[in-house]
Amino acid sequence: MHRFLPLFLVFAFLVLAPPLVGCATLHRAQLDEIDGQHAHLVPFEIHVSETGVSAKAIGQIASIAMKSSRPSQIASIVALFQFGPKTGEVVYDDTFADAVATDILERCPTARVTGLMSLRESTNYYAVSGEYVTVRGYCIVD
Amino acid sequence: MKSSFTLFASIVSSIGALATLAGCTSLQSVSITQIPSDRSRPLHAEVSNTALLGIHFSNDFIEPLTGDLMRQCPRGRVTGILTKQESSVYVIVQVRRVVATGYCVYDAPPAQPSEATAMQGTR
Repeated sequence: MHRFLPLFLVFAFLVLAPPLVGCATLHRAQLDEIDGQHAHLVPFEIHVSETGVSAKAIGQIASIAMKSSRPSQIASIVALFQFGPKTGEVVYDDTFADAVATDILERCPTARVTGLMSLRESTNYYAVSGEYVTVRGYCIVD
Repeated sequence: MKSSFTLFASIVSSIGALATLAGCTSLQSVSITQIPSDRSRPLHAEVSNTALLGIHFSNDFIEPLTGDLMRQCPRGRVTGILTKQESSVYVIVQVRRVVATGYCVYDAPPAQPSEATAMQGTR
């Protein structure tokens, strides 16, 4: 038994760590022009998020709980209506990132920004996920 | 018959070994900004993140990218930035990489108005 203990611990870590801590995914990264000619650059970060749902994972959990393959089959049918190119899991409100532009203006009232880095990322917790849009940049204040 | 099978097996194993060593690479996203006419100072910055079985716990590895480019172009403007995000899988290890290349540009100071132009402006 002691011989298999390290292997068991590694296996337990690999199985339990992603759902507990979350498995991070970076879908897209974009870097804009950087104007370093100004003396005063104030960094800022904007982070908006929405909860994503994996129909497939929910179906699998329901199948295990109900000891029936029916929920998994229903989830597969639901997944057919969600096909196509997408980043991350499906969300209930796809306008969650619309406020990013106004958020930038709130953080930087001069509206002079540079070095914008736009990230589309998500963190998966098996059946649900956090879907994020992060924008980092610098506000020119001089 | 046996020799042809051995040859086939060695070819397949060679292809497998090459694929394992080289890794399967995919390109996730690409973006580019305006390219300057002065391209005499090219810049390059790269960040990467390695994880077993592709289980990454954060995306913070990308944070130093902007600062790295700014350090290479002090008091200048970085433009023509090509940002490339890619991912390579080596059997059970995944490497995520974001590469940014661009150009450092130092804009000429705005020209002072000549005396004649300045006089016209005051009339």
